[in-house]
Amino acid sequence: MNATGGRLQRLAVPVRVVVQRFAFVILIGAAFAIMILGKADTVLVERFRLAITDAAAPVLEVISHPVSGLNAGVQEINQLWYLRGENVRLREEVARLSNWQGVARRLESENAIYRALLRSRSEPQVSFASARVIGDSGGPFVRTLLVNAGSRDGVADGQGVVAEAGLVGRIAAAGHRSSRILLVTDLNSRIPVVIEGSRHRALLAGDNSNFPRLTFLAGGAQISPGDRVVTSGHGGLLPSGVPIGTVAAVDDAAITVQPFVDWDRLEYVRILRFDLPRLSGAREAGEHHGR
Amino acid sequence: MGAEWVTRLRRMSWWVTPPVLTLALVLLGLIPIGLPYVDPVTPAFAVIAVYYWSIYRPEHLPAGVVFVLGLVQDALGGTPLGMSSLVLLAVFGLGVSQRRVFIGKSVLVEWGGFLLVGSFAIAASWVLANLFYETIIDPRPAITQAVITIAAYPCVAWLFVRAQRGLVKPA
Repeated sequence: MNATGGRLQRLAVPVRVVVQRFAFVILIGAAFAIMILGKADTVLVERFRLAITDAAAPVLEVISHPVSGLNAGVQEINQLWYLRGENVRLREEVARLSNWQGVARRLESENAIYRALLRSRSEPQVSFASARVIGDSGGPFVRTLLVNAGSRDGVADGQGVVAEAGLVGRIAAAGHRSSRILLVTDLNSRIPVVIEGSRHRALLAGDNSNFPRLTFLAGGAQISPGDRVVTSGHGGLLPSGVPIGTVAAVDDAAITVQPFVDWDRLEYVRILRFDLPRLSGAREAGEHHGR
Repeated sequence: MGAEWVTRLRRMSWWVTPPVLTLALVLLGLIPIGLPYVDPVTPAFAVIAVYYWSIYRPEHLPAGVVFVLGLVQDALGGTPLGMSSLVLLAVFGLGVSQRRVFIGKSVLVEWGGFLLVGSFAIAASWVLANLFYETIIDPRPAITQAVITIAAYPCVAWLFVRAQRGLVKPA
């Protein structure tokens, strides 16, 4: 009995080592297989990813609260430091903007008159869901955010996401109570845009840097730094005219855009529930959003 | 009755503490810090954890747990699923095979080892991400992450040393 026990024990150690090595190799293979599967069948992998995100969302929500409090404190100190300069700048801006307000009021009424004359179809109304940012990627390879709103709040894939300043990105994947936003700066982000003044169309392509590039711009388009870039609404997923940023630099290699959104202070975002009634088959015919 | 519960809890904490601590750090790494003038990257806490435990107590963070941690990190961080698992398993393999080199040596040797392993892990992630997205990703944020990960190593390792001392092996 004793002898068999000893023999078993002597056998058990090498067997365990072999099993462990085998398991290690299997796991490496599995990781490879999952990566390749993710390249081929994004739906399945995305569903798995959303299940984990939904499960972790409540935890992230709780621990992101004190961090955002700390953040607010740091920013408060930062703001106190620049208070005087900020005040002067704001006074100038108020003076400039009150001018603009007058212009905007006049244009609005003028626009309404023309619209009535032309009987043009106005854009469908945009409703939105507000959400809190509960996580970012933290890594150097993707630019995404997690927010605490999902399909239960009416969020769906492809919807636009804005902050006060402008476009943040689009919903890459909507879970039940959390969603992932693909920022306009991400490698995989492509947003149809127009240059506000000249109405030249282009595609805004992210490259993981803070300055996405304008691509597929018509030849001969005159672009200069400072031009405003807004969404064109082509493709029907985003409303037109949502501000994105200004042209930062124009050179031979690329035209880069400086987004309006302050990525460091992004705490709350609005998810646009924009639906072109004619384009989406899912909507009932009687449920038009348009006026 | 009370004593039985204590032993049961101890036995559980022996197995549960290192993975839970690592998972907590992975979640912490996802919280937007939003400090101005800093790249939006956080230290690769999982790489630190896997390196540390693979040297001192590989049984605490076995390959299966490393695999799952990698999947969770990829799922939450938005990186290609399986990428972190692959990289963390490589770190685990390196740590386990070279653990004799580090055990009983000074902290500086351990840190030096991490300088190599940590840089390797982030470089490997960069290569894998490039292959997955079929493009060349700007390597600068990755370099930033490597630097802050290596800088964060002593603090995180100190936390693990404390945790390890608190753990009592159940009889």
